[in-house]
Amino acid sequence: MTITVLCKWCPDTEDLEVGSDGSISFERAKWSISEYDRVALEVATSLATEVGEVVAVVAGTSIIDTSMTRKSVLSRGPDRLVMVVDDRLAEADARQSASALAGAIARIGDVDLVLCGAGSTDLFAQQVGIQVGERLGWPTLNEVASVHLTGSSCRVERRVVDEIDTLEVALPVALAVTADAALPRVPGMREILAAGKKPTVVWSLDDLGPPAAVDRASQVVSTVARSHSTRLQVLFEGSPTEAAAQLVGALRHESLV
Amino acid sequence: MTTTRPTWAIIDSATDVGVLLGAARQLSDVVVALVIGPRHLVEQASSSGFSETRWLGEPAATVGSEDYAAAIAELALRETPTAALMASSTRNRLLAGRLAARLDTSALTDVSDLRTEDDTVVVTHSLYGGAALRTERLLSAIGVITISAGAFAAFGSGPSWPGPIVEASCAVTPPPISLLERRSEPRSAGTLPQAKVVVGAGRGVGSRDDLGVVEELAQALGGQMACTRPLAEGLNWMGRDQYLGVSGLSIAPDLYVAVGVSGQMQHMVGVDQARVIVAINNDKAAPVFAESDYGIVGDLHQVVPALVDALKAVS
Repeated sequence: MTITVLCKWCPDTEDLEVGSDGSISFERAKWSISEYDRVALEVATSLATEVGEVVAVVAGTSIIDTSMTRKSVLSRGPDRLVMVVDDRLAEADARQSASALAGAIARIGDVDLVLCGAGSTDLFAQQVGIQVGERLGWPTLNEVASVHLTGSSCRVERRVVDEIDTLEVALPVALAVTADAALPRVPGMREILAAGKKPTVVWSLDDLGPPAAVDRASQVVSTVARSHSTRLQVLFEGSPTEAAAQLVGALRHESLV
Repeated sequence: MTTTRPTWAIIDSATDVGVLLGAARQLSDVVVALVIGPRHLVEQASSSGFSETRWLGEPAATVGSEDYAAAIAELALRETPTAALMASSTRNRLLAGRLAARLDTSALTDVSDLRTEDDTVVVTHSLYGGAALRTERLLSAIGVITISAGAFAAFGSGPSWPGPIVEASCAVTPPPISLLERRSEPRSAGTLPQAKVVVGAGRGVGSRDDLGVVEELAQALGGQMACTRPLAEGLNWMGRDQYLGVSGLSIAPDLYVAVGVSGQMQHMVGVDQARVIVAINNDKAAPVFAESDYGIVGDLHQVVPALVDALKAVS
């Protein structure tokens, strides 16, 4: 059995810098695996101790093609890594990413289960895993809170509003898991060293099964920092009792208490 | 400016009817409702002001709106609407993704603004943990769009003008998925989005026991408890349905009190619609103070009890 985990390598949104004109820059940002995808890596690794091989798949521009990316992904449990590295994936939208990842899965072959996180830390559109599943023509579910393999099918729990469904789905299947599905590990030195010995292959968009989409489905007109509602920014000082009394006075003035 | 092509609103819940119509009217004067659900939902939609209401059918227990993707995609390819709009629920996010893959487009999600320019759809949505807003112009023929909760005003022409209902039930092949069990588990945050006063705890609350101090403040204010993401995921001090921010809940209470919250964008985007924000934090440089109306710099173990006493004194 082969499980693939889709991981996104993305900039840390906390490192985003905002210019005085509202422009934004990630030039000095750290990059890492989308934190939601770390949950999917953990789920895959825990399932695979029973059954077989875990292949991680990462797609992006040449920025992802570093030993740091490889070690970061492989130290979290997968047996090997497939990277789709192509500068035509710059600012890729969900359609481009899904088409590249589905093409990689087709080329890997005989994949039984595709896992990904709920969304990416940078865009959080929660779309790529779903679109990969649909492009493969597989049953696809989002908001999956637990996964168990039962032979040729898998049993999952899925939350939809105020209900939790327990479902049995025949493999192959694509699942987007929530943070409830596993607690991601923090890799230790031994796992990081072992990661360096695990195999990685690098493909371009031209190496994939079906031709991958190379254009966005929408044109980005602008990306600007969100302007915040202007707050009063009044600070109350003095002893805790004095400050509390002043705050209660202000809240009364606002008719809030 | 709107286009002459119709826009579709896919409706599977009574709460979304007016808002979806309001959003769709930003694109077209002709808005067609595609309803997945019971007859009363179809009747509600038909009397809400849509140009036409189509009833795609009432799904069986094991089928969700997401399973209508193939049928809706086929219909869309035949009729080429400007876009298919839906709410941002779990099922609709799945429907949007499946529909987008079938229409070879990229779904535009959590859209907070919609318009047409030169007959093409232009949308705005947030990204990077709520830190930025992106405007995009659709290049594909048909848009697949989920709308951000609360971003659009409901449109209602009153219940006196029922429009035509077209029975358009479509064949849905049930997915190879069997439902073994369905249990009800309401999120404890059930009423958090409606609460007038919310007190949020952040990592500055040093331990699980210290949450009691914050709860006393919530009680004194007659409000509800919420938290930042680390308290719900990782520390597990509070429920996953109680955290506010980009991947959690967004709320718009009259008063939000942030206790021990540093003020990271990912959290603040979930509360920036609050009328008044108060921050209590021992770090004067914490970014939360720039996002607040009133603040007290100090140890929450001293400030919060003092605040509870002061509130009791005036009540």
